[in-house]
Amino acid sequence: MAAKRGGGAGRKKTVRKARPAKKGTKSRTKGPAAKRRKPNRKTGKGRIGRWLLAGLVLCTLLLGGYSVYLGQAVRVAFEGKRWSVPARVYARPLELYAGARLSAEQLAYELQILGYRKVTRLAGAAQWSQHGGRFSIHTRDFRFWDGAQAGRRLRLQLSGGSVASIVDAASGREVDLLRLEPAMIGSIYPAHREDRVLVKRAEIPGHLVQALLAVEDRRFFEHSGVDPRGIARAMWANLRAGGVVQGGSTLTQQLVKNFVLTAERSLLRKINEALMALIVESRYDKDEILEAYANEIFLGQDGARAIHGFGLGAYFYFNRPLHELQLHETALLVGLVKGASYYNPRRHPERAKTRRDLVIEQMAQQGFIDAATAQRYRARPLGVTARGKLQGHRYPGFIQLVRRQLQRDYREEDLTSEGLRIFTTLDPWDQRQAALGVAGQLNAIEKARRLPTGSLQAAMVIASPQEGEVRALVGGRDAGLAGFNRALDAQRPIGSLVKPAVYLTALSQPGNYTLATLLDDKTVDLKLPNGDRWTPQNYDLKVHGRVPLHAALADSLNLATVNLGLQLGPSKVVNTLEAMGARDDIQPYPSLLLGAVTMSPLQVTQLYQTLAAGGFRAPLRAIREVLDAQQQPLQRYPLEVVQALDPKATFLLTSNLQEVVQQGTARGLQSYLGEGVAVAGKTGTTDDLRDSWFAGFGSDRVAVAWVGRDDNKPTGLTGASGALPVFGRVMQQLQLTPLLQAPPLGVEYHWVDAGGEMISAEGCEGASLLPFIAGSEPQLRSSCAGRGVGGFLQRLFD
Amino acid sequence: MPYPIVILALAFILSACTGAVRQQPPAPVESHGQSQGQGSASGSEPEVYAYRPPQTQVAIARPQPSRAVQVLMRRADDQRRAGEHAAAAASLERALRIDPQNARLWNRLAHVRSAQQQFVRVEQLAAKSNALAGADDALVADNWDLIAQARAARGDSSGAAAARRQASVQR
Repeated sequence: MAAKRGGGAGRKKTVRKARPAKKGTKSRTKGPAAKRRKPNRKTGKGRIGRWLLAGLVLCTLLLGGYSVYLGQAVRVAFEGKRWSVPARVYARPLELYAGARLSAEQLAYELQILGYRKVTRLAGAAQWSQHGGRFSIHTRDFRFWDGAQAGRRLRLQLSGGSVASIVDAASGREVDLLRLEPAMIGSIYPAHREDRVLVKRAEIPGHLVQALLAVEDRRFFEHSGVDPRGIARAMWANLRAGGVVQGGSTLTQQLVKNFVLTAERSLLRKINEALMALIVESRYDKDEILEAYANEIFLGQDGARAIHGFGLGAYFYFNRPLHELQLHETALLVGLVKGASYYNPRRHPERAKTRRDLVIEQMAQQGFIDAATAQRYRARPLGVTARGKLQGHRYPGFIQLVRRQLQRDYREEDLTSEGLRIFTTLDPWDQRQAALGVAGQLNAIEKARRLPTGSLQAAMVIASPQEGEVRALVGGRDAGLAGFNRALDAQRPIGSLVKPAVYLTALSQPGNYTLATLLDDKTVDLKLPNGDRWTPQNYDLKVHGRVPLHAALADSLNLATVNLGLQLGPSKVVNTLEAMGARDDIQPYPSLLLGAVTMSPLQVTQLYQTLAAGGFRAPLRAIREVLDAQQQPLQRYPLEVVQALDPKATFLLTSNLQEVVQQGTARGLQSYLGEGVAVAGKTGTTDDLRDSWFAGFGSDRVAVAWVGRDDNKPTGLTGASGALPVFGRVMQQLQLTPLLQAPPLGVEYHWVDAGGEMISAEGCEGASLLPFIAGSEPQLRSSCAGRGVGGFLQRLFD
Repeated sequence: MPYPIVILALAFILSACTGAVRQQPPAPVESHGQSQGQGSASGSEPEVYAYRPPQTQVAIARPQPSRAVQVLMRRADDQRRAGEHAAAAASLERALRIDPQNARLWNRLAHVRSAQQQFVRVEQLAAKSNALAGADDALVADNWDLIAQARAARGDSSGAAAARRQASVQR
């Protein structure tokens, strides 16, 4: 090569190092022939030189521009993504105070769903221990909607199904009232189904960082984004181990891969990745990169929801915050970095354990922990919670109600991107019992009646009577399934559940009707406006003649009800229904009197809530408060009541509904709740036994259950044989408190005779004790009333 | 001739009169909420009801959250005095979840809403308190006063007058 160029070669060599583009000059110094060139030799040389210089500058500019572009992409990714945190939804907090009804089973369950760790000795927050009825609990700090509550250590004694005492372990003083933090029950995700539980650098446990260093990027704190030594070491370690034990990409490269780039695997992508890693490292410090990595790394898939970040991963796999995880648990998460689906601990527990143990092993080999510690942690089980025990998948029915109530007040974008905290009325224990009871009872019914498995469906709603808070909502026999929500959306004819509205209409006219008034259970033969004849029948196909009003309701006699309703006028019954909270488009057809009107279980619950609250309708609500991302109250949902019905007439009706349970069509409930129990209830059955309903209430809960088939075929079940056992089973588990209602002023009890027209006395034949609105009781006295001792005293002191 | 019978009858009447068959319990306003929950096994003043069917006289063990509710009532009072009405309402609503049939709590919540000038709610809550107050005349009168103020504030002067009449009847 040098010979060709002749004398100028040496000179050019030195020149070449500095400016390799100047190759062109060698042609110009070819000897005498060069002199024959045009005198502008220098310009020629310069022109190509300039081209090359321009080329170089252009390349630099392009590269620079590309870097700026990449840098911009990096910045947008880093800073843009930080803020899309979905709205978090919380259940009600459990109130603890001396005298509160609470079983050990329930308390253990509440602590479990909060992710508290059961231990033998308390060693920190979010732990509990139990010896029989004695619980020691160390609560977490929590910011409620009305202020912060610091975590503390407590000793709680349960006895006889209630809280006997609560003592603060530090001071020894009794605690009058305390709330456990509410369980997080779901999130409202943005459209792209991304979810985060953001963690700050300080919240990342030291052992998690060590695990990352051990298996993913040993020299993270030393390199500048790309680590050739790390790649070499990893290749060597993998060769020696005969498999992949270390990764060659730095954390920064992985971050870039997750954060910014698409999933294609190509050389170009690798180059981009390396360039961007360098850019990231030049812009952000190690802690910021680590924090971003910890919040971005992909750790699993939950249906349509991607699990990104160790914060969310900790909840998803262990149901607790990241900073509470122990070494073997963080090792598992770090092991997932390599392949979240392949090492999925729920699907492939053995692979997951092997991978986790390998991580722990690497930590020991590289000196982060000693061999004994490694052995101890390798021996621990995975500790992963069962799938679906988390956020949003257990309570889809209730969350749907929450969303609908929020949609009245918020736009979808506000809900899903602002980090709102939504505090709801859900009672997880009620919900659990409702879900188990519904599923269990449907299985039992199908088995007992030899129905095809899975042919029945059901829905249930439980609410608090005085305030109208929805405590539990089951949308189908698989309560955890997010599908058709029958509690909200199944519109079914309510059948006999309408009858209390008819009887209440009557009782609101004390001058005309009392519980003792005799009704005509006689044939109904009605010509309808469209020419059809309507001839309803009683369930037993008999005609009962003259029956007292209270007995007609207790036995759900169709004929007596229709005759009564026609006397009152169906439009008056519609007014009563609207006062109870029904929608305003119900038509006053005669068939309404037997329940030919459709409603959802939630709508029916509203009607019975009004009865349970003595005539005060409280609109059913699922939300108590909404806080924004700065913990400021955004919206309160205050307690509202409307006096919709006369409390006295409502009391009479409620007393009658207790008779339905004690002697009437719902007497089967006593086998669940106790003989003679003071619970109000009503069975409902529709034509051809397509819908089975039960509505009932005690003093602490009102609930409605529905059983039927999605294809609307007959089930062969009445209200008493289908929905009643569901209600009974659930309320038995929840220990429904019976009614202990004092009659309102203006209501008095009187003994009346069998004919209902005369005052009688205790001990007289056929006499029954009934409440009356003062002044509406019979004025005549039967002879028995005059003669007996009871009558004598009564006359004396009336 | 009928003298022995008359004497017997008089003795009967006397003994019946001195045994407290029916009397108004003095029920101080603060503790009314508690006495609501106690069954016939309580040992305090006998209840005012005319007659109760056998089933409902079964003494049912009900929680006695008196201290917890008192703590919250006191907190609500402090918050109300400090002008933190929303917080006072939150405390009272929390107490109501513990003891929903406590007429006194509904009444206090009505007072908070009155301070917040939410007059529709004042009337609703005072009516609810009345429905639960039973024979607690002082509380009922206070509720009617609240209703009268709320109606007057909303321009319903005849309604307000009717409410004031109700209040004076109770006193």
